Amino acid sequence: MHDEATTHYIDMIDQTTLGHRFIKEEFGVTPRIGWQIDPFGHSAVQAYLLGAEIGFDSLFFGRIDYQDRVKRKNEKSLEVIWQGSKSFGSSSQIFAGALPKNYEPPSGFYFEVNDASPIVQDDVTLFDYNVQERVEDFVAAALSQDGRVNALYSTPSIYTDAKHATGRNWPIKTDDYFPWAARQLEFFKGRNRSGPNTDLLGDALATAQHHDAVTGTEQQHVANDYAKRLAMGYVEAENLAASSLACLVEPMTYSGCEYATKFQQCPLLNISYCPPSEISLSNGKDLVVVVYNALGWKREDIIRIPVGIPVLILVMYEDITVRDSAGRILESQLLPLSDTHVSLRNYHVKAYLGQTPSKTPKYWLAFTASAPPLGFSTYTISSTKTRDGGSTRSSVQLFRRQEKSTFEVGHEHLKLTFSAEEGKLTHYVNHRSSVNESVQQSFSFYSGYNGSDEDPQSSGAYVFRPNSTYTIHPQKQDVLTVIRGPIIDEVHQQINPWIYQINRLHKGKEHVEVEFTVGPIPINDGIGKEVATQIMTNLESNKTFYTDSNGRDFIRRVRDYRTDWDLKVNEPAAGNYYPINLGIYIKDDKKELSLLVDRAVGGSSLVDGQIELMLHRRLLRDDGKGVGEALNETVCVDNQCQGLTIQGKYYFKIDPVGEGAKWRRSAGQEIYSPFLLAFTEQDEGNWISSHVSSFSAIDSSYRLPDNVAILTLQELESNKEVLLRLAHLYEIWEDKDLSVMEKVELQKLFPGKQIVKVVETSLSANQERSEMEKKRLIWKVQGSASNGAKLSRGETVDPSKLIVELAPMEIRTFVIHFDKTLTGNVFYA
Amino acid sequence: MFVVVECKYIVYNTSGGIVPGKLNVHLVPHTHDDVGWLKTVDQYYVGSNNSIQVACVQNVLDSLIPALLADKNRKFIYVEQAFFQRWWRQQSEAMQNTVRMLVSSGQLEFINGGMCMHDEAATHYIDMIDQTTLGHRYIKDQFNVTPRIGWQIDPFGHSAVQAYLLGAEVGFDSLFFARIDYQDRAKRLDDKKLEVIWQGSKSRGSSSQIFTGAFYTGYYEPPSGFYFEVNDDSTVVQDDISLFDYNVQERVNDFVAAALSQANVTRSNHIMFTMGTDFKYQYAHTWFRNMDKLIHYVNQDGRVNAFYSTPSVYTDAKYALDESWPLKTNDYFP
Repeated sequence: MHDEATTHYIDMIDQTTLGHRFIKEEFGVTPRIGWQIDPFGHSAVQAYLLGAEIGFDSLFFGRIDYQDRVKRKNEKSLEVIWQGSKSFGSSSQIFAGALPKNYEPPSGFYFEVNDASPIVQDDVTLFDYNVQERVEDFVAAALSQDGRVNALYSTPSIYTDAKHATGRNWPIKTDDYFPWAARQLEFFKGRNRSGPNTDLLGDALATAQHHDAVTGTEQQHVANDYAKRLAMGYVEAENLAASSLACLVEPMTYSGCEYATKFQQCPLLNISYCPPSEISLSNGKDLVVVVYNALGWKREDIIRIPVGIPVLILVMYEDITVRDSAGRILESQLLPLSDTHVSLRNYHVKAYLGQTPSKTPKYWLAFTASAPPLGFSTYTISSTKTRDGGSTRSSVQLFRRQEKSTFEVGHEHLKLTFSAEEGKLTHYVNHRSSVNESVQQSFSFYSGYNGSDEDPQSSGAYVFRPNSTYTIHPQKQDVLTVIRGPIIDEVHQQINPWIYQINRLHKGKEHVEVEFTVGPIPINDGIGKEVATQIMTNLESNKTFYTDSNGRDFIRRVRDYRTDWDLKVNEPAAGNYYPINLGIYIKDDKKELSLLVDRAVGGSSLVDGQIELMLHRRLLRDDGKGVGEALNETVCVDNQCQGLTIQGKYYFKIDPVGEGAKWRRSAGQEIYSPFLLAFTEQDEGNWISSHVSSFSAIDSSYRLPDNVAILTLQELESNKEVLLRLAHLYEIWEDKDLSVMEKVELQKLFPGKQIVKVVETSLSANQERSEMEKKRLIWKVQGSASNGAKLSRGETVDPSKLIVELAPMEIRTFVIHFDKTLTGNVFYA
Repeated sequence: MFVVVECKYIVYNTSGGIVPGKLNVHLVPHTHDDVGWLKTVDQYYVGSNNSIQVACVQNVLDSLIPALLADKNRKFIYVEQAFFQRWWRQQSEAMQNTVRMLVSSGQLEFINGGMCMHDEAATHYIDMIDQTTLGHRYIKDQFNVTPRIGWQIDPFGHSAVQAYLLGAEVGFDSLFFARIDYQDRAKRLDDKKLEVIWQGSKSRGSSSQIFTGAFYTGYYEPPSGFYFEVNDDSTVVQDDISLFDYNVQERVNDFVAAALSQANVTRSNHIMFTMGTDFKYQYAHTWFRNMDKLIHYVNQDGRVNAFYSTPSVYTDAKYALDESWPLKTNDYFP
């Protein structure tokens, strides 16, 4: 595409000839169209000589003077008959079209590999489905040109022929298109629109395990996208759970399930928001709570839900009672909702749902629920005039910092002692296990390193790189609020304006639950902060601590040391931080301190006897690892945004050495699979009397052993085939009683079903285990190959016995086939 | 002025395999497609929001198939099933049959095979199993194959559970990754211990061990200067002698130098070049064109032996040597 301003016509002809001859020789064709779209300005020679005389039927180009173009657009004279030569006149004329803007697509229709135009997204499952929008853009772009819309793949030849076939007259153009001037083009950016989507929670969860998702190293809008997918999947799962429960609570009929009961759940219970439990209890209207337990053993846990109590009841000394499936009255407790919880609730409900809740519940109702393995039980909550058997109101006591006193909380075995003067926990005593330990808890923050010329690595989403560390001292005017009752004791403390903490002890449990509310982390000093908490004991842990590997094995860590090389300690804190998904523990020759988490966090033991956890991070710099954003998340109401506030829990327990594993493993499973609560209402006891109020999917005489969990129970083919994964929860040597070969009776897991075949598969269930083992490559290891332990695996399942053996840490996966003629009522988690 | 360029068709010999006495360079073409990072998973798939990052998984898979069909010696591995499944569902029956053929011939191999390349630090093992199962069952169902290799090239740090549970227990024959502590890597480079037998679980010990390779650069990218994406600026192989920048000998020398420096820290005469990185092969042809030439000219040169490979082929080659490997226990954190 030669230039037309600075070229000699002979050269123009030569170079054109060269090309045209080659085409003729190879293909026997002759080009029909001149296409000078990029040169600046257009010459008369081009029109008549390199156009008409070459035999072109038309000539197109992009760049003419911008004022010329404006005028031609107004007059619809972009397309003309160009007579470039006075001499040849009409004998050497050519149809010439100046393109309306440039030789590019209409703006927003650029589809190169690396273009940014909104592409056409015609898959209705895409969030950004945009067919109508793009069609409208396309039509608009076409209308701005010539008013007809019928899109087709074409060439300038076809276009020229079409123009020619109209038989119209075209404006005449003589001379040339010089000189040339231009001005800047403007681009517009397409808007996105949400479309329907059918992704399942499984897909969303699978995607969220991606190493840039769950880790927080994605850009904020991508994090939002994950959250949206998870929320949509959650709603779908919620509906599925509700309809499954509705099915199970119906009395067994041959016609199947009616789905008569509309169950509701409370995904926002973490911010104290649960409309179905906050209904007014009066005039015989009761709240029905179905408690589902996804674990394979019977379990007791404390339920805590916000309840709406009419003022009348409070004044008239009426009361609330909780009854179990058999109608027995249970002990229960009312706890006041703290101001911190109320404001957190109101702000976030507004942020998530767009409106502030109209009523604010004043109380939490707490009671101990128990549910059978893989099953549920039902509780009814009602108002009553009976004086005995009603809920106990908690006592509330305030301790000011200046008081030189200590106080104790706790129920049976476990007691915590606090010093009012110091404003903190001082002692942990378990009278049953005779553990007595001094415990102090503190907060601190690391200031994020901001990078410099010599050392540019900032702290960010990927990189924890603290500059220095600061202790957060509890406020001097601080008050400790102590709430006591038969089910729960709590010690509330406002540590500073943006940290609130509750130490909570549950009746029947021997661990401490710590609930922390952190944020918005202030950044008006221009410093990013990473907030950590420490639990300090006198344990002589000798630099050693243990953290879990993805919630499974515990791995021994030694401070400032690596087993595989001589460590140069450059980052004394960050270099000792390990990921924690289940928990962390330390021990000496007498005791062990275990701490379990409810989310993935970082943690360490930076001093002997201590455990440190990272709770929240807010940073102002990108760490240059690719995400291009600082880790500075916000939550917004009416476009007013503030730093993110997080609320979470961790749990700690001190045991005589060697006894901690039982709690870490069992409680770990309970934290991973909390009770699922579903709510409905009844009038005059009509619901409970007409529905199944307790249920277990497995044989009623059976429960899984303490050291075994069901990881997966998933229907592959209705009533015919299920995927079952069983896991031994203990490592070798981890517990003196439970680190042993265990047995599970398969038939007891599926009462009422006839197991016809059990196929053991690889972990991801895509091949038979035996096949996998046959194919497996056997590698040789240098030096000693074994760690000295006697390694065992469960034996192949004997189809006549249907017993699954599980060795420590073994996970076995089975596809189980049933006789389809027998159907049972099984609820798959 | 006339410059008539005289070019001719060159048949590139890409048919070579392992040569016992030589340094064998396994070229492993791959793309690493995050299921969400700077853009959302939808945006990455369809290639919207390209102003943030030029990335379109649809381009990768669309251009890959004709590139593989063009030469049966070319190979490719695909990892992230969340993307692959979307693409697969949108293909015609004819295209699906073509892809099935490529999978069964081994030209296209599914590696890792979970919905995503999960993190290993912040994930619970049950979720890791679930997402892997979802992907593996779909692959089994559609293609009747089982992935053989763990490919955790991007996550930071590597967990014991990944090794013994999501590796050995899934039936993988080996596990590869890139990111370990830099001091650990320096030591392993010195000791030639990047490739080990990893026993992640003290309970399961050698019964759940896996051959594990950490990449020597700490990245999962090609040797520097061998990036061939449509918009990369590595020097392409120019083998037309009429080109002013004809550079075959130069590029062969670069290739051999890169191979030797990697061979210096690797046990045995097999090394792997990971030919690709994030969202590459959007126009697969540019990569294969250059690798075709490299294989052809490097093997003509004869100092090292290069060929298209996959981590499975590489693993089998290491295995066939019947050597002993260093033992690794615990994990790769922090």
